[in-house]
Amino acid sequence: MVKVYSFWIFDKHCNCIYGFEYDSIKQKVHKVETDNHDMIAKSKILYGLVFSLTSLTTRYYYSNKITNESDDSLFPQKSNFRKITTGLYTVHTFKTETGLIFALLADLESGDSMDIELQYIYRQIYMNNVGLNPLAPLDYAETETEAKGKGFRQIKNDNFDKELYNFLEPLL
Amino acid sequence: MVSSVPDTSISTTGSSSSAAIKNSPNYSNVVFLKQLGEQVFQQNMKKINAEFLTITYGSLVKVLIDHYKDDVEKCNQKLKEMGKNIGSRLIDDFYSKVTTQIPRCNNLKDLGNTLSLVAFKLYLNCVPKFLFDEEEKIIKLRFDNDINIFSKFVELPDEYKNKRLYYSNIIAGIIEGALSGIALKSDVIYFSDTLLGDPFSEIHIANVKRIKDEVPMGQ
Repeated sequence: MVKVYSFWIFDKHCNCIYGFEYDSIKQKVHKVETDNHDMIAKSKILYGLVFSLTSLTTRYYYSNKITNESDDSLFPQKSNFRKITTGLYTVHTFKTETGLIFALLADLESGDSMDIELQYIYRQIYMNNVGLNPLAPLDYAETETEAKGKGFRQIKNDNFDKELYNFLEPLL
Repeated sequence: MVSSVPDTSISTTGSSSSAAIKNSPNYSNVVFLKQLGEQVFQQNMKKINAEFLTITYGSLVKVLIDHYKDDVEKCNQKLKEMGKNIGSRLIDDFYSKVTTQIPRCNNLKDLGNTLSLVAFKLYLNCVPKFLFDEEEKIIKLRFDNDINIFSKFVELPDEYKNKRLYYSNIIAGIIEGALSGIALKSDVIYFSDTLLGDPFSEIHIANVKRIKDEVPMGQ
């Protein structure tokens, strides 16, 4: 049985817009909130990991250009990393074309990939409750000063919370 | 999502355009995109009645014209702004609908083909003709035979014709918003419109530039 420890969403401005961690001893969920400094610090470290590994994998990407028609300045080739395994857990990530990063920390039994789960979260749960919600903010960094990892806004959406918990609860 | 019922829309393939496509070097890519558009449109898209959409949009434009007291310039701007908001949401939906089947774009021609054969097919069930200006690097999308669903039933009064009200300017905004969602900055203009007496309706996408990915502070 796969066990999920925590789940995070980062936006294109390098901010953590959603995140929770399940504490199995106290049976409690810790969420990323403005006054929860511990979780904010954790989210920053995790983003740093994802960011530096993505730039590393992109740097060592050898393009196999077939035609000369490709325009690299407009459409750069990227190689996103999918997962990283440590002795105790695995970080699975999924980056969308629009710059969102979904990250899931699970135990070692999660195996090769949790792509199906992450894509289900993106396509069904995130899109139906947040992405296509006309009243949800378009951009979680409202001003320039909140970009580049200095933002503090999070997704506040009860339906999203509920559906996500229902989906991940058997795995917690 | 906003897409028309198949039987109320006009057939999508013009014989003249398919001949032009056959001569292009990336013929197989074009055929693949066309099939992908067809397939996703049939399987994943929810359909609504085309007349309902047309009339809802018409009343929206009417409200805007009343609100701005016949100031057509402001109406055009506002329509584009609304389109941008729609587009930046729709781009996420687009990628979640086409899933990972969509091939990567290599150049502006691929972008134009994807826009016309997949994006327009999915959301408006029409395929505008894609023309590419090699020198100026402009993507042109031409709507033949009034396949633009928004301008069905519409006849502009002379007053708005003279002031050049771009009735379907929301499409230009949607394209611009959607491209900005995938980190491409562009200028999209509604170039000409059959409703204004021009020979054809055309949307021009120019100055496509890449927005650099943001890096966190201290990197």
